[in-house]
Amino acid sequence: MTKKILFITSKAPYGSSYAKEALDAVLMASAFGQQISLLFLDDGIFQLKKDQAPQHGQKNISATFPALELYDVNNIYVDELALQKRGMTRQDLVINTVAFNDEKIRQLMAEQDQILAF
Amino acid sequence: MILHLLSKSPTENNAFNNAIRFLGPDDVILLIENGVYAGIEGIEPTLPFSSTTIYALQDDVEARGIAGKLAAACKLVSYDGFVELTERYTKVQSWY
Repeated sequence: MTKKILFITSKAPYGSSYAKEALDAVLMASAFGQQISLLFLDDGIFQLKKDQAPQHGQKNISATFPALELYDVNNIYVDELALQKRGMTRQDLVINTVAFNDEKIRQLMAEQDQILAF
Repeated sequence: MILHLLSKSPTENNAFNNAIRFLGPDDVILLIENGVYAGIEGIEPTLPFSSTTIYALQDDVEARGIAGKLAAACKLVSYDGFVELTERYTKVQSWY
């Protein structure tokens, strides 16, 4: 059965494994044909920053986001306020995303079958 | 209808702010772990007690010695009550 699932990712990319785990879960859910949305909140938006260059053999997480559309993950949103508060704009990000305000995010959450937070 | 699970105190990180920002009109909040501190009468920032139903997990409240400090509008629930809430609200969002 196809479900509408929203993944919320709100942690920065390399200080913990939350970001990587969120991305793995998104890819897995897409492999099962679920209807997926992905929302970046708080420090989660740093996952999308251009020019990331992790050292010491760490994998660059931002390289995976442009491939998400191949997995039919096309509904990708960022919290407008999270960008603003961190001195960033959508031009700083590796992919085209839709910036949502509080009301839009509430609507997005309300229309889901399940929400998973990372 | 979303059950928002809040497990951090109001000033511990951004979990409290997010729960309040994205709270819908038909949603409720259940305070667990350090989230129960948000139920203290007069704590700032303050939960929207007048417009939202707020529950707190009794075991976590008692563990922290704050049963006598909770706002009157804060409804205590047992672990069984917790399970019932997850049945009533099939959509659960954890803020942690």
